[in-house]
Order: sequence, then C-alpha cells, then structure tokens
Amino acid sequence: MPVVDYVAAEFAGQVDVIAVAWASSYEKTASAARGFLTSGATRWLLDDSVFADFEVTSQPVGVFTIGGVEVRRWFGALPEQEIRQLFADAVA
Amino acid sequence: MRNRSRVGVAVLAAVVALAACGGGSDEQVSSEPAAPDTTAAVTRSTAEAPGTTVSEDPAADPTTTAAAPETTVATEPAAAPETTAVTEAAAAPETTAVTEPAAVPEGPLVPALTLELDDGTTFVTTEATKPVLYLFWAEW
Repeated sequence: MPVVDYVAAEFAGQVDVIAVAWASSYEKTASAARGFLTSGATRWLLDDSVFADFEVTSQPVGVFTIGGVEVRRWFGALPEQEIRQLFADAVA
Repeated sequence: MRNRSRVGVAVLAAVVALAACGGGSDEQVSSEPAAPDTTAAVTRSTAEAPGTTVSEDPAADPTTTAAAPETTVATEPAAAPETTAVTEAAAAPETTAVTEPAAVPEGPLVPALTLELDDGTTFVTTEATKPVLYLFWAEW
C-alpha cells in the first residue's frame, strides 16, 4: 500500500486517490494505514457502506476509474511499475 | 457615189468621235460602276455567307455547347476532389478530436455516490474530472 502512496504523490493533481476503510474498525485499519500513507496525496473515506456500493467483498482491492467508468480492478498488491503505468496511461 | 462615201465617212467619223468622247466613256462609266456594284454585291453576299456561317454558329453553338459541358465536366471533377480533400482533411481531425475525448473506456459505471471524505471535502463519484483510484483498505 505505501507504493500506491508514492505513485499518488507523483501524480498529485492529476489522479485522485481515495483510501476507503471501515469506519467501524478504524482503529484496526485506517489508523494503522495512515502510518503508511504519509504523502498527503491520498484522501481517506471512512464509510462501511461504500464497500457494498462498489461490490467489494474482500480486501485490499483497488478500483481504478476514468470518466466514471471502472477500467480496472485488482485484488492484493500490484507492482509499483504497473501502478505507475496505469496512472501514466490514464493522464496521457 | 462620192456623196455616199463622204456621208459614210462622216458617219463613221462621228461614230468614232462619239466613241472617243462621251458616248463610249459613258457606257464604260456606267458599266464600271455596275461592275463594282456587282462586286460589292458579291462581296456582301460573301460577307453574308460568313454571316450565315456566323448564323450557323448556332450550329457551331452545339460545338460551343459541346465545349461547355466539357468545361463543366472538367470543373466538376476539379471541385469534387477539392471538396473531398477538404472533407477528408476536416473530418479527420474533427473525428480524431471528437473520438479521443469520446473514447471513454468501456466498463461498468461507478455507483453514483456522494462521499464525505475524512478531510471535510465532498467527492461525487459521477462528477470526477480526473482518473480516480479507490483503494479499499484491508482490515489487517
């Protein structure tokens, strides 16, 4: 996850990165995650219902959207180079 | 006999004199103008003949008309490629320009949500102007 934060900082202002966490388990997840996401480029959303809205049943999951359309979804970790390429292609 | 011959000579001399003076020349003058008149008439008729030829120009008009279509035909093809070239040139960039923004990737639409972010800002999923990565954090 810190890798995402690195890339988010590189593309700050070009790509919005929103980290979604369970509000009900903030102490277990988000508070700990804040220690990894320190660039300030990633914004946080604490809302349990959003998981269901995006049909996310397991974590961690990344959902990348362009123009309100989901273009890629992945589960688990993604190599830094692949994330950077995904961002670069989206803003090109 | 001498009288007759004198009279004959006198008549002959008179005829010769008349022929040498006015009588013959009058005839010549009258005949000369007549000749030019005739020539003029012929010339006129000849001129009218070309005139007729000119009036046959209507007959030549077909030729001109035939040339006109040729010019028209030459103009139409000349205009056609230009129009085609302009249309293609204009269509290519427009289509490209329109296609690129319209080339929104295919996929499921994000749910229409108004998210209250932790920093106090509001984010509407359907109004995002930039690419967005939603990172669903694990519990552990």
